[in-house]
Amino acid sequence: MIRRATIQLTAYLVFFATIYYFSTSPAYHYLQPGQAEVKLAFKHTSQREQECHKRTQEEMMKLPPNMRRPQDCPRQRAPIYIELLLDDRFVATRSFPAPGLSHDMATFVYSKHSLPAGQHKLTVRMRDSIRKEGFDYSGEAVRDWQPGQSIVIGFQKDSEQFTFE
Amino acid sequence: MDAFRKAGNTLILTVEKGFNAGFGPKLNPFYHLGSLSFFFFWIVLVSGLYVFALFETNVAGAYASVEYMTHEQWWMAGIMRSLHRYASDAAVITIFIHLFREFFRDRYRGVRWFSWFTGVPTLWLVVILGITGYWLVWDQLAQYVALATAEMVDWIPMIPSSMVFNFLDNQITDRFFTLMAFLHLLGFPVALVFLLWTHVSRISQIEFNPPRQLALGAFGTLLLLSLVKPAVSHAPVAAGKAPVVLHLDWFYLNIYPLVDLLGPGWAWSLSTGLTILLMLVPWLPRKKEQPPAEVNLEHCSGCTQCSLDCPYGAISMQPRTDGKQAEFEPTVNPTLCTACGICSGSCASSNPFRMSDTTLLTGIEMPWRGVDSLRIEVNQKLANLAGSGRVLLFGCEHGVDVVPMQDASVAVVKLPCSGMLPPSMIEYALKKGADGVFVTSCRESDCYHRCGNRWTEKRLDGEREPKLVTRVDRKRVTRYQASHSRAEQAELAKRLREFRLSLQGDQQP
Repeated sequence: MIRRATIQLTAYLVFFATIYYFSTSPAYHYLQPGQAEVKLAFKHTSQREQECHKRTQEEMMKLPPNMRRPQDCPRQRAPIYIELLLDDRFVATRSFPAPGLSHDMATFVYSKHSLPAGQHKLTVRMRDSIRKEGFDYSGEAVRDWQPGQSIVIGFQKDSEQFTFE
Repeated sequence: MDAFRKAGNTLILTVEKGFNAGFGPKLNPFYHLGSLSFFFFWIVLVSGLYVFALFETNVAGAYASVEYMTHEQWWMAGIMRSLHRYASDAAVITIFIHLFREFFRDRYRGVRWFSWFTGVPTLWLVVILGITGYWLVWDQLAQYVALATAEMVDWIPMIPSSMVFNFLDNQITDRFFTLMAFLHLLGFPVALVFLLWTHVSRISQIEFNPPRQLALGAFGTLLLLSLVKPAVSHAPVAAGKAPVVLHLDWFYLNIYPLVDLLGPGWAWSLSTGLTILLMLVPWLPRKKEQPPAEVNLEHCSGCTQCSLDCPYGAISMQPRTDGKQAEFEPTVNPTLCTACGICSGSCASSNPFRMSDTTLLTGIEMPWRGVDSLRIEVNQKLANLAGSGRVLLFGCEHGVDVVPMQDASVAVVKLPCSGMLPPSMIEYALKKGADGVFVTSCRESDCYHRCGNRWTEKRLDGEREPKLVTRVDRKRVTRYQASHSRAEQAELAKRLREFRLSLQGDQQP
């Protein structure tokens, strides 16, 4: 009888302990102590890969009548290339291809990174054209980033400037 | 695969043996994993209804309402919230043990593939239901879960990559939050009920409720846990703050650190790959099965007993087609029949005293192991027995191994399930020269074919048709329910020895 009770008690104890522990433990450190998080998150329509060109009469005549538009604008847009630097040192470089079957839609740029907290200069550079070198847009912010702070880098379409919030 | 399964089976039988010593086979939780999972869902449902009554289904009010439940009305709503969480965790434990156990016991292939196959999406839905529950608290953990889930959804190529933008800096709308609440409170639970119904739709004699003592023990443990460690929330969501340390519920949220570590693409690949692999397991390799049961209408009285006894719902009674006076005739669905032979044992016409001069045909039987072949084997084995205390041992091939018990005075007849044994065959063996008959079945509450051992016990105890006739001397019949293990084999040898001694004692003048 005592043996039976002991086994039952042990079984319930194991059941209790398993749920007790794994329902909250081990603790998961999403950010290490003394780190902040930066997220690049914005929507942007990149430039076309090819410029529009005016069709000649000869080109027009080769097309069916309902497709004879004077301008030929290839739909494909350039991938967006981003560089993120902390105190002029690379944190990340990423390329985001334009979505859509014809790669012609606006791109949702999203990536997240952890950074050491403290006084730092954060620089972001973006290329949204087919150019091989240089950047079309850039922005930087010098702030005292707090541990556990979440910084979202956005891009204002109208002013064509990066925001650090 | 076979070696892996056998090793796992040995392990699980060893653990179960320990539990049998403590709980006994009737209350062994390993034999009630499915019904325990159902029981935990009941706790989740009832506690969830109470929590819902006090819950604010909008972004601004959700956290505050949960905090109220946890700290102000801790004595009722707080306990209900904790029970809701811990019963959900407990369900994951029982479901996973159930999954591994069915795999190791080789009860997932062949005709039984359907329950396994439908169990995998059921498991997924349980996990999704749990995850959406964590969203509703709308604390830092919820924000983390929402963001990581959105990252996973955004990774899917054909979906516009925009979901994650809903969760940056607490931008979630009431409309989206209400949608999540609807899914957690109604949409997913209804889908889960449908999947659970599908999961068990190919079996009969389903045990939905665990034994009362076991249910009380499990509930008491969860209640104690709710008092000792009440479920609490993380800090509220705050703009510009990232979660640093998260106390994840690893039963449900284990995929998210994987998303952080490997990225959503790998997390999808691993989880999808594992899911597909799990769903295909019944065909890796496919189980070779015997042909299904066959009906011989001219020997069938339409008593319906085979239909009542079939543990897989493979036999349905249809209106009689042969013009006999009986109202019904059995029809076997071959896609549900596991060829266990229980129907053959339940048939009143499976009587070896019938048609003694010709081939014995019965109302329903296995084409590969008819009652006639059983009678022939019994006759042959009895003819070769010698000495005193001659025993005919009918052994279920999924229970304890009976073959090593064979000697000059002990003959063994193996059956695919003890439920295949017609009780009249025992009387027949005793009349044809056996001093005693020994019947072994699977361990109580753990029949490989679900009900075979239970029906055998009831038939021999005269509680279920076809009954062992009262004129049979009960001292000459014994039985033993045991699993396939060395320890139980030794116990069987001991019991057999004692049985033979008792028979020899009765034979002495």
